[in-house]
Parts: sequence; structure tokens; C-alpha cells
Amino acid sequence: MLEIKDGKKILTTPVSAEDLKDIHAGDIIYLNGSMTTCRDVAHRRLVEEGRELPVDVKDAAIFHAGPIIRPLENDKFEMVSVGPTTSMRMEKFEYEFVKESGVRVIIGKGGMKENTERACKEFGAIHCVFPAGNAVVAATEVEEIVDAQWRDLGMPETLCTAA
Amino acid sequence: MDKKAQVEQLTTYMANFVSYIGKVLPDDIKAKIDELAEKEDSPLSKVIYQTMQKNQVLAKELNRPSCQDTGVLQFWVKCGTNFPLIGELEGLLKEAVVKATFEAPLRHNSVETFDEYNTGKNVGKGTPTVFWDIVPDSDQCEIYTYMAGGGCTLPGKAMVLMPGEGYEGVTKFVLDVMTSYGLNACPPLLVGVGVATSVETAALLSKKALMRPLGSHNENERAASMEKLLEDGINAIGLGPQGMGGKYSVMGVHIENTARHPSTIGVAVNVGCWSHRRGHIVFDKDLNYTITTHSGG
Repeated sequence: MLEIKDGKKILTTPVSAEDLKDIHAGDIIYLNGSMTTCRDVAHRRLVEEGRELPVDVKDAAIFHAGPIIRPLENDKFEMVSVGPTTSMRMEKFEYEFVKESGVRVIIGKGGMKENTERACKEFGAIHCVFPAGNAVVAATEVEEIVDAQWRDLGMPETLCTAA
Repeated sequence: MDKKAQVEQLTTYMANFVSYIGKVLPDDIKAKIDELAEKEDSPLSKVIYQTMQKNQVLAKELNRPSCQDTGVLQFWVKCGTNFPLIGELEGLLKEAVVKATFEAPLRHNSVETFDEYNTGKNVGKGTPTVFWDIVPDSDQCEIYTYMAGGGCTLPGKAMVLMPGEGYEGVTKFVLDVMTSYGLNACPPLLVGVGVATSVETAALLSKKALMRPLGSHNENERAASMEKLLEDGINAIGLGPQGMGGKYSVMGVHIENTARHPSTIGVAVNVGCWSHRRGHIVFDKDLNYTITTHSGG
């Protein structure tokens, strides 16, 4: 869903391809809903090893990020600090990733190239950047970590789903 | 204090210092960010700088690492030969990192090579990095502490040029790295350049250059002039904050140099990101300390 409130473009997951039509390069947008951290190894597992992602990111957002999380009770985690990593490292896999997962919003840092551009056009997705190093600003916007998958990869590569 | 107690004390001080530098930027960096925030005029750069300033306030207030990439810890030690814990220092620095990792908390950033697994403790074979300078006849110990994150580490490059390529060759080398990798290292950047005799001597100097305070210059007039020229040249690339466009791409360019073999010029580039988390702490023999980089510390 896309709404415009006080001049702000706000996307709320689930996001459709239609929602993205009114967003243009250079816009500042806001996101509500579901976002999952997903970087190097998760991309390789999906694309190179053909493994299914343990999280459903269809019509939602992924964040190229490796967070600092702290364990709480009941197998839950607190989002302490999270900011974007270099998206170009995922460029090689992103077309396949978008195709397989149905993700709509890819948040990262530094920009991406032709594969991602092609995927965005073909499948209806956007790539945006979050200013890096502002990891507390981002973490304080996370209401809850609802899931943490592929923890065997270690903290930076664990898929954390934030709501 | 007996030795065991001293080791524990120093470990605690260093663990606290490591946690601290991950949450509060050094005075010179903070001042530079504020300065550049004023000088940039596009609306997007203003928004980005405001976010950066807000982030630092929140990090301090909530006691959290300001950037999630708390890096591989690197220590540059200048240890007096008469400092009582000279023998125990390297071991206790590793312990301090393990402690800080749990307390701050820091991200787990040590992946053993070849076996390719994350150690889960933020230390591993050879990490944290410890560089040593020995200071004769002193009983003090100075420690530079640095969080070398992935973003700023990726652009690192060192090479040996033929002297015929001249200082123009050095400039071209630096600019090639900055135009290709600079964007992803989270500008505005601090650029460290090493000019020496070989690949490893230049590389070490390029990291040492990043420990210098902002606004400092190489003592050699020509080197200082090249620092300024490189700064202007990299700013002209127009990266701006986060590479989103702007007048300033760097916070400074620092060159460190040594003599060289007649047939070679070793050159290296190393960068620090805008969140340049380096700290400098000096201990006397009784472990009284002074922090020179952070006035709040």
C-alpha cells in the first residue's frame, strides 16, 4: 500500500507493483511493515545453492544489512544497531533473488547495477538507499524482531525479520 | 597493585574504551561533520547530515554502537620498554575485545579464513590486530584503538610503482581508488596515503595516517602540499555525503612517508568512513590514563 501523508510517500507492506508506480528516482520514501535483513550468504544460498529462503519476503522488503542484535528471553532478540552494507556485493545475485522471492523493496547502500535494474523493471520492485552509519536511528524504528533465521551463519548474516 | 590485578584493571579499562569509541565519535570528527553539514547546500545533503547528527545523539543517549559495523578491532600500541604490562598487553587486548563484544554489544566480525566460519566472539586468529612501536626508556603506553569496518576497509589498496611514474603516478593511484570505491566507504571520508619503499611499508603507513588528528599536516612542505591537492581533487569528484552528491567528499587527506629504494615507489591508500571511530588513550605505569581524542571520555 502507498499513501501520501503530509507530503510524505509512505509504503506499507504488503506492497504491490502498482504501489511502486508513483515512486521516482530521487524521492525520499518511508516504510512500514515487514523488512528482513538479507545479505551475502543468504543471496548465495538462494541463487547458487537453490535453497528456499526460510522467510517469506514476497511483497515485502529486504535490507542489505548485518545487524547487532541482543538476545532477550523466550528466544527473542532486540535490534540494537542496524544499517546498510554495500549493495554492490549482492548485484550479481539480485535479478534471480527478486525473481524467486517476489520481494518489492530492496534497501541498501551505494547503488546497484543492470541486473537489479532489469529485475525492478520486469518484476516490479525498487531499490533504495538508507544513509549508512545511522544504525541507531534505524534500529529505533524497529518495533520488534519477529523472526531470526539461518542463525548458523553468525550474527552479521542472520536473516532478521523486523516489524 | 599486584600484576594480576593490574592486568585485570587494564583489561577492564580497554574493554570500556573499546565500547565507548563505538558509541561516541572523536571530537575532531564530530566538529568536521558539523562543519560540512553547514557547508553543503543541497536539500538532500542537509537531510543526510541531520540524520547523522541525530544518530550520534541517539547513540550516546541510548548507549548503543552508532554504526552496526563495529569492525575488526585494531590497536596501534606505542609501548615504553619499562611499561609494567608490556608482556601481557597483547593477550589482554584480545580479552578486552571479547569483553567489550559482550557488553557494548559489538557485532561478531571475525570469520576464520579457509574454514570460513564466524567465531562468534569477534576475535580469531590474528584478530584483534595489534601493531607495535617500542619506545625506549619510557614507562608509558599509548594505544590507538580503531574499528575497521567493512565499508572503509574495502577500498584499501597498495602497489609498487616505478619511479618514472612519479608523484603523478601516486596521485593517479589514489584517485583511481577514490573514484571507484570511494562511494561505498560512506563519505565524507578520511583518506590515508602511504608513500614508502614497498607494498607492506606503504600499506602500514596508510593506516597510521588515519590515526592522525584532522587538520594535521605532513611535516614535509611538498607532502603537505600534496595532501591539500589530493583533498581538492577528491572533493571535485562530487561524492557528497553518502555519495548522494555534494561539494565535499573528504574530511581530509593525510600522507605518511618514509625513504624508498632508488628503483621503487610504494604507494597505498586506506580510508576511514564518516563514522571514524578511532580513539587514543595514554597510560602511565600506574594505569592512570588520559584520553586525547574524546573530551567526554
